[in-house]
Amino acid sequence: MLNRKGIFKGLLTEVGFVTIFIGCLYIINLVMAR
Amino acid sequence: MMKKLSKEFDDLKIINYYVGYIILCIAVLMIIPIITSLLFKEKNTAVDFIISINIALITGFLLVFAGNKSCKKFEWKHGLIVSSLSWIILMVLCAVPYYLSGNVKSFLDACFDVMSGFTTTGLVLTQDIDHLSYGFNMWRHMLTFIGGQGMVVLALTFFVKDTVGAYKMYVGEGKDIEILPNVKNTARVIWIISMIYLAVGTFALWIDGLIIGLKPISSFFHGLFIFMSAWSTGGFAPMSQNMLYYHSFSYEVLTIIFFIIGSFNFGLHYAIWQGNRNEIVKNIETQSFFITATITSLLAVMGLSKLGVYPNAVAMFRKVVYNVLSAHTTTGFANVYARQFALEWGDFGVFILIIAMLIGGSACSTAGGFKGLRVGIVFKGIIADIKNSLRSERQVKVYMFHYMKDLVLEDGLVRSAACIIICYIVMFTIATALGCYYGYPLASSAFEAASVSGNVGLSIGVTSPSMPTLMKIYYIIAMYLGRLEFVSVFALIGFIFGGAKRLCRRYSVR
Repeated sequence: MLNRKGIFKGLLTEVGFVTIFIGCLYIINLVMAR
Repeated sequence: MMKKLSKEFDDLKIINYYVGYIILCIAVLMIIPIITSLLFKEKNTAVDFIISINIALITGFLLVFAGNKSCKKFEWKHGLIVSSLSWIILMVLCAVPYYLSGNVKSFLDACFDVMSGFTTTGLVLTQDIDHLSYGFNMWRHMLTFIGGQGMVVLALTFFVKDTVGAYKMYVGEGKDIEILPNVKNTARVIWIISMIYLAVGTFALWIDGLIIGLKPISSFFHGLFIFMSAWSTGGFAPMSQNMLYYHSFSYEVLTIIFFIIGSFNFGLHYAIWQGNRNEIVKNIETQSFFITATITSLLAVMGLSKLGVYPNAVAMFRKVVYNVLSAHTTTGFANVYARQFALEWGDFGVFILIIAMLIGGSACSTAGGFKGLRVGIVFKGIIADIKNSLRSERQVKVYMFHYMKDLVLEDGLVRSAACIIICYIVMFTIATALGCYYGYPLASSAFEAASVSGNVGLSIGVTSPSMPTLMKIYYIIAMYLGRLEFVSVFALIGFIFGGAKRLCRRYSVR
């Protein structure tokens, strides 16, 4: 089952990964929308 | 003769028992909006919910007493029918507070909004949303949160003691992933993950709400409602302007993070939280999602850049990429007015949104649409077929894909994925044709049809209280079919027609 350390690291992984994806989309958008 | 008749009714008794139990579980949850209404001194709302909870509890108890869980072995058909039937009965019971509130034109509109909430679609027929009570808003957003997780999952987690047939009911609700060997534990894990994110997400949105100028209590409830909607990829919002109300880039970015994470498979969440962090990159669904989300976002940006609708790149990201991601995850949050899609986005932009809405999110998540898993499987199946046709007949190649673990790409898997996609396309086509029949333009009809079929919730202006009744009924059916992914609903229809046929045969023999 789940433990506190796993939950914390899992949350950070998911939020971090999605934030990086959004960041990449933002940068690509900045280039494309010129 | 009586013995034969009583055997026929054994199926009904088992179904009654479990449907009754699920209804009791959801009825008890009406206590939450009652408490919210009392805290805010909203007496009329509290009375509406007290009446509704009594009606639901009486219905639930009657069904449980009329039922019998041990008269027959619990079979697959019972699980599928319990899931599909409980959704219909709950739609009617949960529509009672809507109707009593006076904010809907008719009981059909109330049922539409409830089904929209349960299926995490987000299309709205409720009027004067900006002045709804806190208690009523709590109920609206709870419907998406419960519907996203699943009523059966909720009942299994907290209320159903025995596990006989539990897995069959769980699958009947459109989920099939076994996170843990025991389905009750799987249901509990789904709720644990959701509640932890609810705490984290509400806190983050609460703080951001304070920063953008909302009052503390208002910010908390807006954060809670928006998170419940984002996580369940529902699309309901406490204000009629939806995300446009907040006029905040940071609020929009937070919602993007939460609705993308909300569109992920619960099995993926569990795998990552167990320490298998590479799963987020290796999984076929996340790969499929990130590829299609990037392509659709870029195409939409290219299309709208040509039209010159938005003045700069930041506006383009906020208005275009935001709505494309909202469509793709089937959330339905919008930060443009509905008519702007039709008037400013042009045919190409609307077309990209339709494709994004139909592709949808991940399987065994709160998202709708074809699902990334099926798109990935069918795409890999096509590539495999092309490679096989070019290969020598004596060579045998086994194709694999990664979905929590490495799996063989079998023909049966590709076929069943393709069948479900075809069902979605048929449903979408009928909805589009219906819209055109009633005089809506083709692009608008197709947009709304994709929104309904994929349980998205973005609107181009077709969905309104003045919409034709037949369209409202069809949209309810489409949202329901899309969420339960057809099989359990077909089982319910088969059961009803089969029972009617047997009764007619019995009376004609006499």
